[in-house]
Amino acid sequence: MNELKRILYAEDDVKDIELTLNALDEYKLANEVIVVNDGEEALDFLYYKGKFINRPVGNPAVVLLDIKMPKITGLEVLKQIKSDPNLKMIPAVLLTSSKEEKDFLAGYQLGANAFVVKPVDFRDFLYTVKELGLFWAVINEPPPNSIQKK
Amino acid sequence: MYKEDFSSFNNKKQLEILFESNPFPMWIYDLESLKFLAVNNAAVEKYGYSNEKFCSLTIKDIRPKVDVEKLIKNIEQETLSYQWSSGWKHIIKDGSVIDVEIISHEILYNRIKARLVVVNDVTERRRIEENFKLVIESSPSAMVLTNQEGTITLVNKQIEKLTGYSSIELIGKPLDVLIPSRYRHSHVKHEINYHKNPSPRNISERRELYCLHKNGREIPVEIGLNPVKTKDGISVLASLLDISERKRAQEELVEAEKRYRSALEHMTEGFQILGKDFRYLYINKAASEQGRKSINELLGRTMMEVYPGIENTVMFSMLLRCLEHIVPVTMENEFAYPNGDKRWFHLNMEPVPEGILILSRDITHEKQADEELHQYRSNLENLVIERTAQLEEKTKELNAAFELQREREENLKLIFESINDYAIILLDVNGYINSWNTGAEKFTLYRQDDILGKHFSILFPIEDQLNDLPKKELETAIIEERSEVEGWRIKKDGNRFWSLSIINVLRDKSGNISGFIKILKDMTERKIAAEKLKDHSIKLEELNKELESFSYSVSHDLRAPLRHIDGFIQLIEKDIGTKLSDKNKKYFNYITSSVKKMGLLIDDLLSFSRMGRSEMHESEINPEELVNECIKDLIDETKDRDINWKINKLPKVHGDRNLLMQVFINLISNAVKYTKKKEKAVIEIGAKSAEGKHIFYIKDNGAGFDMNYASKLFGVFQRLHSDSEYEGTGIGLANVKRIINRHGGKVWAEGIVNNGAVFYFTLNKK
Repeated sequence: MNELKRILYAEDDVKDIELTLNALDEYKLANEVIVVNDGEEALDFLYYKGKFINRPVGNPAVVLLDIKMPKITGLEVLKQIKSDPNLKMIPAVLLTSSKEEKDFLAGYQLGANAFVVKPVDFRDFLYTVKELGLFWAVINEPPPNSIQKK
Repeated sequence: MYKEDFSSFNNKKQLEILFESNPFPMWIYDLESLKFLAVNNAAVEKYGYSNEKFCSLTIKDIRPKVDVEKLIKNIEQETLSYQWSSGWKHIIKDGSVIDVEIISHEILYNRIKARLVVVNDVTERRRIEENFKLVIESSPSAMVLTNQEGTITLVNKQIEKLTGYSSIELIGKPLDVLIPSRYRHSHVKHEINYHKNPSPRNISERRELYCLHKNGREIPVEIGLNPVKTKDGISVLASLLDISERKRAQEELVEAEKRYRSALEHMTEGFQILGKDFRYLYINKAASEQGRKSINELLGRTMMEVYPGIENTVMFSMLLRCLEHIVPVTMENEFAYPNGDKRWFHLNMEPVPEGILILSRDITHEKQADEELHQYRSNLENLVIERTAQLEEKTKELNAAFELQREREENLKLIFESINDYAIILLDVNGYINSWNTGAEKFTLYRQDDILGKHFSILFPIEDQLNDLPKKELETAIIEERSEVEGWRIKKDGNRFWSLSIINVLRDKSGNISGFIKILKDMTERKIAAEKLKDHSIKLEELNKELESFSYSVSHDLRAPLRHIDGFIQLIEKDIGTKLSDKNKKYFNYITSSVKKMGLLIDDLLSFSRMGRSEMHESEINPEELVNECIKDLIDETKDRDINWKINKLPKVHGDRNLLMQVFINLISNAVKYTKKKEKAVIEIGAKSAEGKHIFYIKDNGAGFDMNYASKLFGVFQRLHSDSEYEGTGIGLANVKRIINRHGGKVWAEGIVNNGAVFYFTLNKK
């Protein structure tokens, strides 16, 4: 729990987590991922609370948020991130199973950096998740105060 | 003066000669008896009496009787002087009166106190003087005579008129009284000079001076001077001419000239004077503005220099005519400026000594107005003719309508009485019922006899009565001339009925409210139906919402498990793929393709549900653009195919671009799909017009369909072909129908198995 990891991934569905980590492993990015299971845990991580009270200091290079999560939804987490001056520069990517117009609009209005629909086809899914990780964790220059690449 | 004693005179003889031969008549008279004591020859000659006769007379005898008293007084006074005493009159023998001046001295004559008198006959002189005065008096000029000392000695009546002084006030006064103080000093010099070198000066030499009136006013005068020799030396006769009138006229003239000049400068008409060589001699502001040249640019130059080529214009030939024949010319001229502008001017050319005077007036607007007026008039004439015809027509119609109206009025009463479906109630100003028809009886169960004279609020439920609803209904009608209300009303038996009622205000001829007409309809059934409908639509809305959240969860919740199935199958296959039998591999493939199919179904279903609830964004659409875009998008499917596209001209329509795009995509991709087994595919897209709508069609020569199943074509998940023959989910045409319906159009299709299909849809014309 106290390892320095650059990708914060909030997802409640263990199967999705499994598939996503599988995909990210293709680029050896799986170790860079800290998985939380709902919005509350995501905020705990960002604010060094609960089980993350002692985590190393630094913001993740990217936050991947599933929209539909128990307790606090991905959109609510996004809203909190984008309204906090210390966090708002963290790139936030929304993940969802289908492109629902109103979620899509709300996500961008709250300042989401990207909106990704998880494809049903596993090959497409693999490709999408790999590209996502590659772009945000490898290609993109993270903002200051982010945890640096190893 | 002293008394002399002539008797003691040394040379008595000499004295006698001096007395006897003196040219002036002389005598000595006794101061006591007033008798003449001695007279000389000149006296005898002048008076006509002999020496003896004289000595028998007293001095009273040669006086006019009226003078005697004065004479006596004069004798008593001792008036001795060497000066001539004038103003005396004597009577000579023939009775005529002569004017005389006398000098008298008291003497002792033969020891008698006597008086020696020397007489000078001044009758002739006086006459001349009188004539002189008369001449002066009758002169039209004011005249004043002054002596060498500058004292006024004579004035005439005109002076009195001029100066306001009477002659008595002036004579003996210094001339200064008539001279304004500021001139007095210099006048003295003039006076002295004049006396040194006196010569007549005529009035025409115009010595303009001012004369001081008694009231202090200065009067401008012209003065002529004449030296007059008198016995007292040289006097000056001045004649004064009042020139105030002339002066005023002159001033007025100057003023008038100023005014004319200013008027010329400022008048809105152009005013210019051209010399005989067409040089601008004078030009006012308006003329320079009309010519669009400054006055400086024009003055001194010729017209030809300023406006080259002007000598070839009609206007110029008119100027020549005016100049050569010395005749005025009037014309209207369209002047073309060098920059191509044109304006109309009215020109008056007048020959004047200097050359030509031109008055110019810009009449461009009048010209335009004339033109418009002309146009307007001819339009008006046409209009009048037209309107007259219309009026005649209308009159005919009105007469007919009037006839009809009368018939109608007669019928109306019958109808009113017999109307069954509407209650027609007449109310007075306060809402009391005046009239009640059979319809009213039917709805309310009140009979005419029960209700006439009652207030109409009897029909309202008690709660409405408490809320003053009946009164408000009438008030609204008064304000808006009409009120329309719906509400529950009460029948005679206490049951309610839902009424729609309209109240109109009735007015008498002078516009005062005379009552109300209330028309009611029993709408109870419709009300019940409407409420049911409302319930229904509320339920429908709820259902719709449920469906929406259902489709959302379908999309979201069904896609996730599918993704998982596909994902883990693939992961397993990756791990143990080599160990699987061919049969198991085939089953794995089945699972994968089923998952994909189900994913497609879910996506299509979702888009179909969205199609029904997404908002419409309407704009003008060019369908040709949409068609071309679709064909471009289908390049993957068509690149290896032989397709003959026939795309006809398509009309522009109004609609939601994205939705209509879906329609064309679906229909055109269907046409491509269902012709894939044809070697030569023909796809035609076109439109025609019927019943005020555009009918679009997409026609192909593909697989076609059995018209028996045509009704199933547009249903959700309805397919007429197997997936292995033609892949698809059965959602596309359902979407097309939904979109076209939302645009107010219709869709249908015609087809023959293996012989092509035509899909039609309609869109409203704008």
